[in-house]
Amino acid sequence: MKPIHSLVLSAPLAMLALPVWADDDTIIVTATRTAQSIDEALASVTVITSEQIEQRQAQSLEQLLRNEAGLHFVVNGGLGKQSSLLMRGTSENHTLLLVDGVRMGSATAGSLPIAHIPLHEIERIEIARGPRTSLYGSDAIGGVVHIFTKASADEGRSEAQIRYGSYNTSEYNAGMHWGTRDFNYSLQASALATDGFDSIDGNNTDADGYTRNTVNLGLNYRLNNKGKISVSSMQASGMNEYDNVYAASNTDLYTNTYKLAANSVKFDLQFSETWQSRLNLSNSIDGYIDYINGTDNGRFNTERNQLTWQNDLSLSARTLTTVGLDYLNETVSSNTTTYTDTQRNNTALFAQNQWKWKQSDLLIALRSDLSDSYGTNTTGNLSYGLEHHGLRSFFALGTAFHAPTFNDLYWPSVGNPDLKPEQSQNIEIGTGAKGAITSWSLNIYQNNVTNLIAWAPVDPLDPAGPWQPSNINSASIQGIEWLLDATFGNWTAGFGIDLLEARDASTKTLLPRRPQQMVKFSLDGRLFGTDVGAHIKHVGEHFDDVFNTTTISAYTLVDLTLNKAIGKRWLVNARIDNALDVDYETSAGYNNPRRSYSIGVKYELDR
Amino acid sequence: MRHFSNSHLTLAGFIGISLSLHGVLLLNTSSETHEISIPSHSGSLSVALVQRPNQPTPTSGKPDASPIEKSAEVVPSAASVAKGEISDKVEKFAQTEKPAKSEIDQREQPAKTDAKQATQAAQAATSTRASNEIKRELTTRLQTHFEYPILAVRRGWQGDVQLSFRVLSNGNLINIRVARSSGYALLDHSALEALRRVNHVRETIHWMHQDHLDLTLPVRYQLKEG
Repeated sequence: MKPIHSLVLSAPLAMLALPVWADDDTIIVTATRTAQSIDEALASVTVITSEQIEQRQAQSLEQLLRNEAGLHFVVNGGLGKQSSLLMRGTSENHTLLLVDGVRMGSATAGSLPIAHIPLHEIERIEIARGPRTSLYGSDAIGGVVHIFTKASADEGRSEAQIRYGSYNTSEYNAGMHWGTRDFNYSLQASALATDGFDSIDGNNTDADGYTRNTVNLGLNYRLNNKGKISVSSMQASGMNEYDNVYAASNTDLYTNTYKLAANSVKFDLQFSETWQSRLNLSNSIDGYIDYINGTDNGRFNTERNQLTWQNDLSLSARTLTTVGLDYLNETVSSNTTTYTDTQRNNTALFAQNQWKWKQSDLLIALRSDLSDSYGTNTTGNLSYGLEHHGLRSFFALGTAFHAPTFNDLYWPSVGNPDLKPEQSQNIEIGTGAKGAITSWSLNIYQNNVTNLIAWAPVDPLDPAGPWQPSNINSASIQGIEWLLDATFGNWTAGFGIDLLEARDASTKTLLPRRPQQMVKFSLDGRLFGTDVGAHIKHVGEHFDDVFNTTTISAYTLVDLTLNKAIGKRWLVNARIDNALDVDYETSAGYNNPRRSYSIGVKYELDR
Repeated sequence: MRHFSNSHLTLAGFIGISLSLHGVLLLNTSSETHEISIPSHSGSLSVALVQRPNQPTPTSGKPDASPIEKSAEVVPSAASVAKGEISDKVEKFAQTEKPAKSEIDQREQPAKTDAKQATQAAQAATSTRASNEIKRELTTRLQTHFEYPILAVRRGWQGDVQLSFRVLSNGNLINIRVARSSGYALLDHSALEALRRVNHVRETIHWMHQDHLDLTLPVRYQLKEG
């Protein structure tokens, strides 16, 4: 958005009336705050703040984000269970999840730890829809979910909260923030435990519980305006009980323990007034140990070490040139599966340039990834944004890829080392307007994904024999997102429609678990000094399988929230999840939480 | 739309400055006349004023284009110059604005010294009150030249930069420096560059009644939620 110069309009009149001035002739240069990932003038972006997270009192990313445009979650039964995010009709491994710039997820299964991401530690979430591989590399086909933890924030406050609710769910969290703008450090910790409920009816009838313990550490040190060193570390670990569809016996107890870590050291250096350089050294861990009846049934561990050197050149106020180098090492290990290769390296060069004119923006981005396991991939983005008569529009073209997983490439005897990355070409048009009372946006996109990896029997006539992955499928995805927001005094209402047509390009069947219609409505406001909110989401009927034979019924979820400040330091909040007590599925056979209540009390310093 | 309101503002602002300057002139004329009429005082005042150009002059400016430098040349030393000569110089230099002159001429036709003294007083006032007005006018004039760098927006950088500079009566802006940093080198640089690009504010020729003005200009970079 172009800077808006807020002129002191009353100045000449005041001059005539009053000849003596206060010395406040400040030139005010303003611009609309934008996401760090990408300018909102050039893409469909949603930013979620810590205040919004606090208001919604969600206990998982799925609960927090399920009402956001373009996002659909599939959960295999309650908190902590296998959760997938299908962004804009793409696959579960087509979304890049970053925590403080650190790439998350399992390189073996290709899944994301959506279920285990702690929420109290989050300062801000940026959801950038559409391909972003040309900046971040592999996986950003459907979009990017970038989580910024409180560790990376210069400001924060100290607080403590306890929460209790249905399914014997208890949650404790505390956070502290010390220091000044130039030197500060923070520590957050949380513990969540729930008895849960039976994930699959009739398949071991006990409740499937879950625990999550987290620590988030941050340290920021500013060097005389010349730079900044930031250290951040997010750790989560716990235990998860689950039901296995393929269980040999109905009495077997399936559990796993998990460990996640996102550690990074960032050096922001000011080489000159117009050259800002960021060196990001990061390490992430995604580890699981699976147990059957308490016996180790396999460990899978992914460790990533990444070095990103990004240079931002501000050659003029109206251009932003970014060039950088990215090196990523992925190492996997398992005690039961002997992968034919356990390590791979990817080196990338990327460059992008954004131009800003009075009423338009242009972004051109290019990135070349060289992997020692799946070759070279070059991706790009071209976006043009235009503002005309208060209408803000953009047109975007982008290509992206998703690297084959270690399971696909190197699973003993059946892995296919010749696999190529899955590739996508996305075209998108967005338009919208922001007014004092109402704002709206409309995005239309078409995404073609080719070289999709699918496992099939090596001998088609013998499905019981060995299966092997190959780049055989392709998908054609079209979608429309329409959002309308209105603010009346203390009240904000939101309405949104997602229409999606995601089909297998050759069989023309609908891709599984991609609802064709999603409608959301939200109302937030103040009533008798209390913040109240109602969030409603309707998901249309869709299919659970590739053959389009098993259906998942339509459902409507209503979440109600209440936040009341008592005095300056206390806050009482409550949430009713699934207020209509709908028995719904996102994955056939798996139960989801019925109506559940939770109440929390929070104490804050310096609210 | 913006163009319209800007030119409207400029006009209104100019009238505003003009009127208030005259107000200052008139006020000072009436209140300080008897005091300044003492000959010795008058002399020393004139000298003091004319000496101003001898103060350290900017290095980065354009001395040849500056009328101050010219007036400085004709005043080799305060003591050796005749009183009347100095006064004439001062008058000539100060009374560039026609309305001001004619107004004073009408009111104080016989007492020419009074007019001179009034001008001197006005000059003294210019550096206090009028400088604020000039600054305000400059603020509105310069506003459109400042831009928020894309990188700073992306990183969420905000802050106040204070620029200091000298306005010469020919409208040139010289000695542009960052007096106080915003904490972000890019914002400081961007503000500095914006003012350097402006370089010259032609209109000041009509406002300035003295050699130069040293000003500080606060620039606030502020992001709004949208």
